[in-house]
Amino acid sequence: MNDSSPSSSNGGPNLAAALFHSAYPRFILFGLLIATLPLFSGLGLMKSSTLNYIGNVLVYAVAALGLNLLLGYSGLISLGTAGFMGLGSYIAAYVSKDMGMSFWAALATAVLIPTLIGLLIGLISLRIEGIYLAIATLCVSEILLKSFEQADSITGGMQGKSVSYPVLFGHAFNRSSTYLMLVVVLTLVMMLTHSFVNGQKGRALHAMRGSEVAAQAMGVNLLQYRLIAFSLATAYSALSGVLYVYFVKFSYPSVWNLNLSLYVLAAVVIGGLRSIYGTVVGTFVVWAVPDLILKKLPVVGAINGLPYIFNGLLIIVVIMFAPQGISGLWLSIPAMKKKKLPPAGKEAV
Amino acid sequence: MVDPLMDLSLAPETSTRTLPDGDALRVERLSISFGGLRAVDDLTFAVREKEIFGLIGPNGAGKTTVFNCITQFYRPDEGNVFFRSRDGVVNLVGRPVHSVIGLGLVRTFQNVEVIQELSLLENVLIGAHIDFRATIFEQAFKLPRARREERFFRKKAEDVLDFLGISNRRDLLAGGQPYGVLKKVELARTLMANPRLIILDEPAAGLNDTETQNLTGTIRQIRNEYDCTILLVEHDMRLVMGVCDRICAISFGKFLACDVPGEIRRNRLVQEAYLGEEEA
Repeated sequence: MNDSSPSSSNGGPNLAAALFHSAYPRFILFGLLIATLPLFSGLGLMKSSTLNYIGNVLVYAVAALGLNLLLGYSGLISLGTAGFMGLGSYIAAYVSKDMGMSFWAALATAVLIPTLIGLLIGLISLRIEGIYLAIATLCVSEILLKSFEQADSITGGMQGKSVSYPVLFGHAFNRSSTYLMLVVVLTLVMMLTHSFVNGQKGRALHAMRGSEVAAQAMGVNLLQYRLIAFSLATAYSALSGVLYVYFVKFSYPSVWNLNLSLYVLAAVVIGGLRSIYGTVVGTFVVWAVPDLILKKLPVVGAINGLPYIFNGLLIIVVIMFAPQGISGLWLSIPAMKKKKLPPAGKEAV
Repeated sequence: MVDPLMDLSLAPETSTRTLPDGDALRVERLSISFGGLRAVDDLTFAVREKEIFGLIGPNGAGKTTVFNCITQFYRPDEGNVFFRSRDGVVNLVGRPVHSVIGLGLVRTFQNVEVIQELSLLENVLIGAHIDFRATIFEQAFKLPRARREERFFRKKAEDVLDFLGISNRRDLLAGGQPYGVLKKVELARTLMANPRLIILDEPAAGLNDTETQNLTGTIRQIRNEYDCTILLVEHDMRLVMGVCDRICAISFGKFLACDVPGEIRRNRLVQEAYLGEEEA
């Protein structure tokens, strides 16, 4: 797998790279593509409910990108995604509905507060590693979940909390415009993530994962960069929660359970560690494929708990046969084509 | 302990009295034990400025442990490590590992420690980590300062790779590159930090004969062009004898001798340590 990637980045003319010098236009094109989907549903080519599934994918993709920063780039594992998503959603709902503040105020507080809490938890828990960090973050998530159930006055308890579509720039949004907002936010998040991971701080995360000793010798303060990765992942989760509550217009405690965290984890692993597009595709595979495609199949579609079986099997297959996920398979296509040709001076130095 | 703002806080113990003029580094009465094993035992030696200094000893003599004590990967039980940094002489003992590079001291590792998933150029760029000033937001939004820095250090990294003769591979991923190339990447990474002292942990390990021969020239060239001091541990005696100005020999963590290569070769203690004592 490692052999293939260099040849693809160095070798033959990559058409996409030749067309677009920078990665940004490609992200924008990608965003435009998913932005056109409501048109299909408007023309009756796609069921209206399909748009809901896609919208949810866009929402969860933001959280998955955050987890990829943590797991893929920094080599840290967290099972607390759902808790922080829930926290973001409830704060956004509370600030906009109960306090009557603007969308922007809700967005800012709903991202900032969880991030600060994440920072605090990180300070305490990031001295431990591996499976212990996973357990610690799982505990935090479960504590948050219990709080959502108990704090009736803020979260609405088991009844959940509802909000309306956002009011932005003086317009009351409807479902389609909220969907477009999701597209814009996801595209921006993808672009920012791309610049971040390819810059100095992103390389420091890479170094931390690849070799802790080398990272330290090069001046990377491990605790500091673990904190950066952890709070970023928390901020992405919270943002994802905010988007969720504005698109779904509802937040229940039962949504923010371990199951969701595991799904986000599955999306990252299946999509491919350290791949931005892969993460989005992985999110689509995990959330939309079972409901949109598999359930319509004869016999298979009738199986109870199909999404769980599908995702579980998929994770096993990916880990065993394609550890780099879907993005890894995609990147190895040019190399496989090349292998059929005689190897032309590979060792020419 | 918690140091989230990563200031390279230089302790106020800066003075020049502890290190004579002309010395770049002085290891003083250094000791460290692991359980019952005394890996380094009351070791003292000094490296002069702009010198290529070798640390040798039989397997298990504690050479790498000494390096780890100097660079603060290990905390020595006793002793001091005085280093002439950009801001005067400092005692390295007790400083956070990640702050050492900021003083002008960089190291390589025995088993190359490169990031497989990054290109050679990106690996080398990690060497400039502490010189970046742009904040996380400037980098995520690609604001002018972040772009300027990135361009500047990319150019610098390209020059360093050029200097070491591997710039044609700069965009290839480190994973899958030959060992000799990765060794050079590690070397290039240290050069990005404008070091005053480079510590090389077995730079010739895993290299073939030609590569080892070329390494002698490369090490000299680095010393001359980058105007720095070099301290190295190496098993390849031809390289050590050929490249070092002076050599310190240790055995079982204890000092044996410190002299020019010719004298070290003739030293009876050193011969005994390597070949075993002669029956009297």
